[in-house]
Amino acid sequence: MSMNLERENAALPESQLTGTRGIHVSKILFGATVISMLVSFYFIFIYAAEEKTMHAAQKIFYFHVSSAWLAFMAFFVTFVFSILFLIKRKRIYDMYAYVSAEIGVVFTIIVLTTGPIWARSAWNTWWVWEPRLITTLILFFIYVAYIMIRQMDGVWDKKARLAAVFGIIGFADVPIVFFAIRWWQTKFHPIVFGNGPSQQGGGMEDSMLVALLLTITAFTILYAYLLYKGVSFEKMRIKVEQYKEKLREKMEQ
Amino acid sequence: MMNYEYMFGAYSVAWVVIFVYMFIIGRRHDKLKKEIEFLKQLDK
Repeated sequence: MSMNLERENAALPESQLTGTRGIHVSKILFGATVISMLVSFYFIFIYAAEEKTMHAAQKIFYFHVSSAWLAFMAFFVTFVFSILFLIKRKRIYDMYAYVSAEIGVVFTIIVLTTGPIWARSAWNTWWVWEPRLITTLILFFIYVAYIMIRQMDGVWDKKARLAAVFGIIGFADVPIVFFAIRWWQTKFHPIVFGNGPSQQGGGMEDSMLVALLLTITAFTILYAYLLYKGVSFEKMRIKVEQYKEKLREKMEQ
Repeated sequence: MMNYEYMFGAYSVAWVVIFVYMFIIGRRHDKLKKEIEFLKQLDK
């Protein structure tokens, strides 16, 4: 549909964020998030064995890794929808890319704050300039820049195209973050699975692995909920913008 | 040392970030709702 036609057909949405079906989906996702989070809490704090040297501080690992997983997944979704937007030029793809990038930034903040707390307890320092930490910080700045592009003044499709290119190129840092500790020498960041040049992965005890997988599942459901909410809101915001344009034109005539 | 302070610190920070984000989403929604109500009045 052309921009003009979209504006002519613009109708004011209801002040509810989504329709009846949408409210159900939202409620189901919210309920599933709460339940899965509570289950993961049980497995983290009661079921999973306590690590012998780090004790309770090791439990940071479950939220830290799950946040990193969510951020990577969110940036991957941005990457995919950015490509789709550049091919098909449909606004809905741009909405998914934008909302997902925003969620990714939020969870990268959690990674970058829980990481130093872990570091303080394990390495006796808040921050070390080592490959994993540096590449994660770069990832954060890339997607902050992506969001800043979206906040600029200008025509939406120009901004969307520029942001899409940024979203595609920026994603290149995600595998670099993941493989950083496996490619380069690092004394600090532990490798759990696989081996690196300076250390070998120690693996995990079964109870810890179950707790980690359940926390990752809970975070994935949380992501689905936040993405659904965010995209519904964006759809509504765009309808309001189009309606305002229509009203402005009507008043000028 | 059981390191409970680090665990509580990290979990508190994580939940504060999540709740602040949800609060921001809620604020955006409220603002848009007010805008819709205003536009409805304007269009009458």
